[in-house]
Amino acid sequence: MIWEAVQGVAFKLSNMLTIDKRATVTQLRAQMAAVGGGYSAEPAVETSVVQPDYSNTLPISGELGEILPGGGFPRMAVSEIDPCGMLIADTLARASAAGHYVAVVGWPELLLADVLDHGDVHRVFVIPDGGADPLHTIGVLAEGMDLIIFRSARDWQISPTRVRPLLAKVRAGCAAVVLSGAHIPSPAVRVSATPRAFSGLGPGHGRIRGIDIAITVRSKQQPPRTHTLTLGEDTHHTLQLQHAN
Amino acid sequence: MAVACLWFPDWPAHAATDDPFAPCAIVKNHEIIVLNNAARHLGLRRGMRERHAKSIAPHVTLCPHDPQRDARLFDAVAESLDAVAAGVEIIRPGLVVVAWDALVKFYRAEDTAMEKLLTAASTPGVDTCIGVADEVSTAILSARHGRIVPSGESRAFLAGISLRHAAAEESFDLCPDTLATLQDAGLTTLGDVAALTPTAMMTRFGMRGARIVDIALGRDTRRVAPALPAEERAVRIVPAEPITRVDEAAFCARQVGAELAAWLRAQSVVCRRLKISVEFTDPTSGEAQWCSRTWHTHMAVDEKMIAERIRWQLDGWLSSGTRGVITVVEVDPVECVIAPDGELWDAGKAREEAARSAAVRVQAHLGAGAVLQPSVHGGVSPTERVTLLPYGDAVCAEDTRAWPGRLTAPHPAHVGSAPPEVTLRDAAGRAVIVTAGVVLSGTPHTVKWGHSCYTVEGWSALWPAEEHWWDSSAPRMARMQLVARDERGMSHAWLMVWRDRQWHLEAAYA
Repeated sequence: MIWEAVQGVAFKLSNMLTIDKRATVTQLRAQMAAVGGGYSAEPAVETSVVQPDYSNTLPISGELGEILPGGGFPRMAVSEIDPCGMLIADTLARASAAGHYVAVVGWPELLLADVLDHGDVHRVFVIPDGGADPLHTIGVLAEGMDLIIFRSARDWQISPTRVRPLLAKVRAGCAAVVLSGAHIPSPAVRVSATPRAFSGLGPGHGRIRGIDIAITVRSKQQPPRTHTLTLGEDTHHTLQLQHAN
Repeated sequence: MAVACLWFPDWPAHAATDDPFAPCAIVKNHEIIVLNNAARHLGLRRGMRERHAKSIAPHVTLCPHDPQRDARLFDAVAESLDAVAAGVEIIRPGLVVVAWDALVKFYRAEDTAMEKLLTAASTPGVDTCIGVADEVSTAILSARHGRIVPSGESRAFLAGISLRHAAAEESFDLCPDTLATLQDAGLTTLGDVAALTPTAMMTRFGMRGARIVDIALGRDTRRVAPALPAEERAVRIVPAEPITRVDEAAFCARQVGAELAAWLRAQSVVCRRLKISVEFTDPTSGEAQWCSRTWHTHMAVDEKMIAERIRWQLDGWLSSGTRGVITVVEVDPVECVIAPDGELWDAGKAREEAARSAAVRVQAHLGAGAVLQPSVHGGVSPTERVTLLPYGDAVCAEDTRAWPGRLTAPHPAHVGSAPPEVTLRDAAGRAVIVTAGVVLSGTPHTVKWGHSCYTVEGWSALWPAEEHWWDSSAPRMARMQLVARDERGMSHAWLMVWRDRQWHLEAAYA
């Protein structure tokens, strides 16, 4: 009798557990939440892979922008690029033509002929000598400019103690900072660029019409992407047609 | 109406002789420069040669030119004017300007003031003419015509004055050649000159043209020196405690900015150049030194901009730390101009403002010449077409995309400070040069500069640069693009230039 009663209770309990399992669990969770200690009554949501926020990128037109994550260099972050002057002059020209303010620090040998042809000279600022502390200068510029390119003549591994104040200022501003020749522990985007071939010249005739640059883009948001970019008159001709339309 | 002018016609002639009715003329360099009315009636004129004058009127008294005598005798007149008016300024013996508004205020009526002036100035035998106008130059001309020009009607009055009358007044110091050229062009009155654009006059005649334009437009901003002390232009603040920290500097900057902006507003001028001077005192040794920096702006500065610049400048100086503590801050608006068309501040968009202020802050830190902007010029080579000018100077952005003969994209990106010399050799080891017919003397095979040697893969035709073709001593240049491979197989491309019988690397495609 007692055994039956126990069995009956056990059966009831098991029934309770199966039928009202969800309700019981909910009730138990609520009780745990009431006790406190950081336990939340909601069941843990299964998190999917975090999508990167692309709204905060400085868009770069052209082939370089197509392989950069988000279509351009990330704002309020520091990226790295190889010191390939032609690619950078082209990028500056495109950015200034799009209405962004760009600054070049520490690169007196850079020739800005592309900016004359396709960009806006009023939006380009050149600081040939960044002073004794060029990182401070970059921090000051980060408050107002859209794109800052810094060239270090020597191969400079910036120590974490010096990177921290720079990153703080860059995050407080609105600029996309791109270092060339200087390295930080973890750049947002790393672009390597090597000129490979010059096309258009023959023995005694023709002129340089296209420059092939092999580009590899490494970033946290995507696997490394490689592309061969061609700089030449044709690419800009397309750009002008787009502007005309 | 700010200025009254008293004119004593032919004063040197009156100073030279006691009898006003005897004909007298002043001679300088054998030419008559001043003569009294009696001499005029005899037929003598200004500019006449001495011998010619003697032949017309043998008994006329000819006196030598003596400015000292004129001034000495005129001093008595000036003194008697001093008794009735303050702010009497002598332009030359025979021409006096008086601060009119203050005088009218003192005597409470214009008629009384004028009567007092004329009574004080009257000398037996000498005429006195008076004129009143807003500006000094207009007042001088109005005195010569005996007119009172109401306030604001200077331009209308000046339009009717002929250039010959203006030239007759020697204190204007107008160049006779310029006036002759203008008269040949058909411009006879100051109104005709005022109708021209001032820039055109300045371009053609330089400073002399500017002087005539200023007189014609009534733009003479000189004031008659009043007896009251002149207002100090520079704003100087001596902080109670020496400034050592940036936030104290910010507070001081705001104060100075507000004061200076109020002063500029009161004067209805806008400032385009600020000079910030600061006295640093070394706390240990007590010695002081002054540092100053001048700020150049395109647009008029407003209160916020003034305060910003002072704050950044003090920040820049303080953060270098080596100079000491700040004891005096002085800001001097060096270049003040009349606000054009009533606009005092520039609107400016937010993004442009942010970029501009960032560039200006870097200028504060590193110097005005540290931040540059590319300026476009015409030229064939991309190295010639770009010049870097300090930010804030005018950037010439003419459209040179269609410059004839220019090198087209893609452009090289690396320019060395001194283009190095290179040697171009053919397969046999002979040097490849550019002949007079602008062709290469051989087929290039290797390029050598410094210690590096490259094998040539391709080269373009030569671009001769025909500049200054009228000057036979001008250097002749020819440009060529060259692609070469180094020992490791990497391709390089350069823009080479043939100049002074030698190849140079003008720019690199790198």
